[in-house]
Amino acid sequence: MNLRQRLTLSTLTVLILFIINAGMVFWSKEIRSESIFELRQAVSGQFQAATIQQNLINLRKAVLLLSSLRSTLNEMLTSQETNQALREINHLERQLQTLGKTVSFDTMDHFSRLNYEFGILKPLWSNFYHRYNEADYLHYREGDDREQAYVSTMQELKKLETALIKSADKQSMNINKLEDWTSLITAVVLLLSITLSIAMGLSVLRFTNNSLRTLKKGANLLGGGELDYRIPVTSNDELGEVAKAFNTMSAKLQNAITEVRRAKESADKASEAKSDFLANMSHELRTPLNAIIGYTEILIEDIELDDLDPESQLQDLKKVLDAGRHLLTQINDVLDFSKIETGKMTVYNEEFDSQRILQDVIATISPLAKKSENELSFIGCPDMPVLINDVTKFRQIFFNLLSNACKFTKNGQITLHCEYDRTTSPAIARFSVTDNGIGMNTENLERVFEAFVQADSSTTRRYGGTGLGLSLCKQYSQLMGGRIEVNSRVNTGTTFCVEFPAAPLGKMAPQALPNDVVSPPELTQQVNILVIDDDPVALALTKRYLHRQEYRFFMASTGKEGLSLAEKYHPDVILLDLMMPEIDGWAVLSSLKKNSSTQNIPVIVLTMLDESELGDAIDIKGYLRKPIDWIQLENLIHDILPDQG
Amino acid sequence: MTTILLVEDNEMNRDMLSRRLQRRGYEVVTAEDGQQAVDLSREGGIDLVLMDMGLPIKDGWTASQEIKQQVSSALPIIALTAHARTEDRERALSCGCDDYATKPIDFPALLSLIEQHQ
Repeated sequence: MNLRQRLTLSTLTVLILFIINAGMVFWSKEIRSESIFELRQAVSGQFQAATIQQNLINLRKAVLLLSSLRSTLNEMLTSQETNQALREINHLERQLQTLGKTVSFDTMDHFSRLNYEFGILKPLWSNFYHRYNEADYLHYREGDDREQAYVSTMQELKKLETALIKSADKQSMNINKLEDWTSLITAVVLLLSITLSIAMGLSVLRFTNNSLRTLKKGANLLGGGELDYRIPVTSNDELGEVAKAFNTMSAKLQNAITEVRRAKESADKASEAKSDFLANMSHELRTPLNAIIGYTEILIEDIELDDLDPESQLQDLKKVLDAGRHLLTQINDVLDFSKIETGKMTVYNEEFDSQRILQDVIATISPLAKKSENELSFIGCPDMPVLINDVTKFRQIFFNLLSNACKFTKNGQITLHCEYDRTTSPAIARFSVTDNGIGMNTENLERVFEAFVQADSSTTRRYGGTGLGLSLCKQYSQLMGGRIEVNSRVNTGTTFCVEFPAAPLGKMAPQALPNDVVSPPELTQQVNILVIDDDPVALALTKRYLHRQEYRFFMASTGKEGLSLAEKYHPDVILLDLMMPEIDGWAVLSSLKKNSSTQNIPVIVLTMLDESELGDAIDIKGYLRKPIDWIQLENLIHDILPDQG
Repeated sequence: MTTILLVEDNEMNRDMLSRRLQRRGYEVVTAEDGQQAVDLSREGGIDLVLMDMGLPIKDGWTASQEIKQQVSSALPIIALTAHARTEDRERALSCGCDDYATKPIDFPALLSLIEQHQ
């Protein structure tokens, strides 16, 4: 039985007992008042009977006296005296009738007999008075019938009196008995109520105590760390419900704690990975820095020792430059990688001609191929449609794959092969980079796209690199809706195959392509370029580059100067530094775009910071991170001014 | 004249360090991997070894251990590595290296280390 049922039952029981008690009191009061009424009647009857007895005695005395007076003195009664006597007799009769009203069931018989006897006596006495003055008046004698009637009446009256006394006694006893019973029942009911209340109270108390003890035990165990403890559910009562609720709570708590533990573990792992990443990066950055610092110190020593051999110094400087570029690539890779890791890498889709971009990449990579004595060939695909994708990432994927191939192949053959596959839906643009270099075994193949993994730890020493290049290639291909696969055999070579969806737009690549090594694109030299940059060193470097490429150029070291030169000379391209005092690059850009005479001049933005997304949002033609990669700049200018090519 | 065995797989670093050491009057013998280093030290005539740790074929830790155990425990070995963490340093020392220099090399510090151990 559950707690609610127990409480309801005990309340009901107490209520019923109370009603019984109240009914008892009410009933006993009724009964008692009835008995008291009867008692009063009996007592009043006694008094009346005594009065009647006295009157009877008086009337008899008067009759006897008058009778003796008539017989001895022969006196007569006046009519007044006669009437008075008759009135008294009648009065007695009325008294008798009043007494009759008080009789009860017990005294009814006695009264009837009295009434009957008096009914005989009354006419005898009335007749005595009526005939008193007359001649045939009857004198009292021995055994007179009037005297007999009187005696009988008197006897019946005495009997009635006795009966009345008995009746009063009986009622009085009844009342006493009733009171005793009422008290007894009230006491019993009270006792029962108290017992029941105590029993119910104890039962509720025990029930609550049990529940609380079970709960306390559960809470203690749970608090002590036994998260899988559950309170046994043995009934469907409140304890059962509380136990179920507690168990649900425990389960939820356990889940939450498991979640938290899991989260902590994964956070620990992430932190460990970060720490490994930092250690790795530290290592990778120190290696080129070692060369840069070392060679610079050698050059300084050369000057100090006056040991000046221009050829040797040029070679040393080239090494510094190489190491510096290598360092830059690594930093860029790390930044890109961290962008992907944090989900901040965005894809900027635009239409581009994959064949021309790949020729540019081949041109860029060819010095590297030459250095490792590799033959680099490009097998184009004349019917390749224009792709809509992120051209920068596309370029970087193949730059990474080709430079990778150059790194791991000596004196071999590296081929970039393009194919447009219309047999699938959607059609696929497939590009593969194949080398006949050192190759990889199966185990290494499985991990090749993981970050910071190279075939073995010594590979890093021999071939350099952050171990991020291929990981970036994979991430980029996925971001761009494509995929990358690798096939390799040790000492035979490696093939990386990249696929992108290609929607045929009816647009074909604009020109037929040679199936051979391509030289970098050349621009005719009648191009006017305005450079706006506040940093004199950067300005001087850019100036040297433009001069070597035989561009015509104008230099401005402030935004204000730049704006006036732009308006004056209408250059073909503007190179704009973003970080400048007073009017910064963004302000210059918006002024250029507001002015109708300068708004159509293509702008290439130069910056130390990674603000490519901002660049995408604003109307600019390109974006270069400092230090400027001159080949990239050349490509950009070529992109912007294809007609000049 | 002190002869130093420089074990370094990176061509630029090998060239740069050997030239600087030669300029200071040391004779420099170079090795490109750990196995070469062990072989060269076995041939004798080496006074001190500068050992890069991440090497192909046989890494610097193994090579140092072999030199100390099989060739000469008295031949001083100074570890050179771009791994800059304390545990990397401890690992080098536990393999028998006498001292430790971190890349990029602080050249004057390296010179004083060499003087200390030769």
